[in-house]
Amino acid sequence: MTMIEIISPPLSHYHDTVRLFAARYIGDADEWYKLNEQVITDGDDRDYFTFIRMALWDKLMEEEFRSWMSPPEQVDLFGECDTTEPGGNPGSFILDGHCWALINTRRSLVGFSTLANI
Amino acid sequence: MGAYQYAEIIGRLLNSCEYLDPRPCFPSKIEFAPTDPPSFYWKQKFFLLNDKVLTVKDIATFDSEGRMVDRAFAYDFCDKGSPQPIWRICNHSNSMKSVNDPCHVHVGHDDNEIALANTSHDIDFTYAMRCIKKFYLQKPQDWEEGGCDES
Repeated sequence: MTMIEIISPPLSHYHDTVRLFAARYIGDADEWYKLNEQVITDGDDRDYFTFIRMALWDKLMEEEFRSWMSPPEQVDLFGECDTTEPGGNPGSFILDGHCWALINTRRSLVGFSTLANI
Repeated sequence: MGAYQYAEIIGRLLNSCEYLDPRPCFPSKIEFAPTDPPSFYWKQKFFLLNDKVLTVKDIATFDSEGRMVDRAFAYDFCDKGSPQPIWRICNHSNSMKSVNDPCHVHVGHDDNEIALANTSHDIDFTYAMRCIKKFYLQKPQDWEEGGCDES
């Protein structure tokens, strides 16, 4: 008799959930990053949000940040972390291709390109 | 013991528990979040013999060595329909807390709190099932006089 079922939702499930909670408790799904336990009145929702915040918040923020940096209609200069074009991303190369390095590098390059256009 | 091992233990404990009421409440879903290592989320209500109910909240993150790092948990054992627990073992888990923080048992009333352990390393679902067994065998719990014996 199997009593336990293991489920492994993708990150998008958690993104959808925090957006749903944000719409429900602060009235705007796009403000999901402002959610906190104090505004969530339902105990089950609060537990689930606590879990997401402790385990997945950085991942959600990273995904949000990256999608903001690369809107769908724009060609992504750097691509995904693990498919970076060799030589196209010096920070990632030096720092062994870690995602946080990639993000920081992208932020720096955007800053440089802005300065170059002044 | 990582999240997967913990889930396996839970499954074995439930499969071998002789006090579960046969009312259908299965399968119980344990959720593993896409973290490395996986994080663990489980909430479930079980019906037990003699109109007793065990409500479980067990949420945990793990380190790469498979050790629990942070937890929010409550094992609430009560009479069916009763708002007060016969006992509830918890770490006051409105938010996740370190496993190095103490945990408590509430007996008969939410205000009646007894310190149970200085950490919650060993106060997991296995411990809760041991308490269930002691209840049905009418043996003293660890927090009761004559308790703390291995059974």
